[in-house]
Amino acid sequence: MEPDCKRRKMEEPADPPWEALLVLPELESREVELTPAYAAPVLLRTETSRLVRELSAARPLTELPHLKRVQARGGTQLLEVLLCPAGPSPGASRTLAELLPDGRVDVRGLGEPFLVQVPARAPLTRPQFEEAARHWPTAFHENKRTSQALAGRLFTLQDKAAMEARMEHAVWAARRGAELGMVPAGAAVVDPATGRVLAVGHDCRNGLHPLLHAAMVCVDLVACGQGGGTYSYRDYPACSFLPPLPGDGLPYICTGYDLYLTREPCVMCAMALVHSRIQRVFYGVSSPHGALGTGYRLHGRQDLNHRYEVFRGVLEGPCRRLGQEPGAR
Amino acid sequence: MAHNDVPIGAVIVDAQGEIIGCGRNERELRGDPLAHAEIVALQAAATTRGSWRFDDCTLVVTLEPCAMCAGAMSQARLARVVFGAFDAKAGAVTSVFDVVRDPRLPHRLEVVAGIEELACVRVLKEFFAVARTENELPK
Ligand SMILES: [Zn+2]
Ligand SMILES: [Zn+2]
Repeated sequence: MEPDCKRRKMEEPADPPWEALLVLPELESREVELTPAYAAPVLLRTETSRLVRELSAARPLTELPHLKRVQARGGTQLLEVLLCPAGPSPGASRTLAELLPDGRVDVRGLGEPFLVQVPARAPLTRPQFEEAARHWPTAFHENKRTSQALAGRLFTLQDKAAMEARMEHAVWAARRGAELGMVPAGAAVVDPATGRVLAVGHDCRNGLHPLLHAAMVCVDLVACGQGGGTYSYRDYPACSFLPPLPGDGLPYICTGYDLYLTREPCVMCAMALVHSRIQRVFYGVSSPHGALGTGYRLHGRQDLNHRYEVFRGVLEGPCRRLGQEPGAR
Repeated sequence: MAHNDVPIGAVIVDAQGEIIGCGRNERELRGDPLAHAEIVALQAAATTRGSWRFDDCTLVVTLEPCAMCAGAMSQARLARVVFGAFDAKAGAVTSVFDVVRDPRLPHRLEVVAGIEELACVRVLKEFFAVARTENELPK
């Protein structure tokens, strides 16, 4: 066994080190949305703090609370102050008297108002913040974990070694499936609290049932381990599960569990993982109709009743090669 | 219904109008979080046909499918989906997403929405009203 193993290692090209990259949900990944607002130059600097005070009382930025009131124009000394949102159909040129009609703001020291595009929402990530701040000064409450994850610093070397070992189960299953004529995709479910690998499976769409993609197989295997489940994997010995430990109590299907997938799942599988209450998904390579980063980002939608975290790039090299190995399709 | 599953039903009809598979939501009954009515009906239809070609078929379901079932119908290359009640929270055929008519995906279905909507809504409302009363019964 060992010499064979060593020989294999020598023949295979060395993979570059992989990174587990956070796949941001839709809200965190979308481009900064802009909305028009009126601003005006401050002609008398000494009036600035009075103007800000009066504007904040008379025209509070209730819809745009993330915006700062004042900006220094392009690194100059010239200050500009935000007056109010412009609404859906802003008029091109409005006077101060039109915009601040009730006399609660003394317009002394203000120049002619102008339209400006400002960020419509509070930034959720550092890239969004940097983009937003190019338009108007914006407050940003940084989520440390997200920033760490985006910078690839969330996982220690020890974490990554464990992740690699778990993904190797999925890669192994994908190869066993491919030997039986299945699509070469594999999956493994792990309880991160104990490190136990609870289910290992491969794609069975060419065999048992056309909807049994690797992720669906693994969810069904976990359900089997909990006394439920729908299919029998007798003919597919690489698809297996461990029953939960006696003292564990039964979680609801995949609550608290991690899923390792050699490739990004499709819409059906990604939504099945919402239904199964998975905690985190790690996948190796993206797929053309993937639903966790490529086409959709189904994992972090506020409108669905469960959300999970997604990381891509785990053990990317071997996962990528699965589609190219002899016998694979 | 003996089990506590939310009453949702689906049938698959072929080009001649023949029902080739039907299913109801069996998540609780089977202990399978993926046993939605549409998936159960697809399993039944596959058994009836002995194959997995449904490009002449229509799936009819009482509630707008979720993204999993919409993805499954797309995988199964059905021709058409007909549904009754809209699901504003998780519907993936109009309400939250439109998975079966997404030009980025390899297969698209024709959609007929809101057929017998009131009757479909009534079945669900009755179920949830009964569930609520049962929970409120004194111990
Ligand atoms: Zn899939
Ligand atoms: Zn569904």
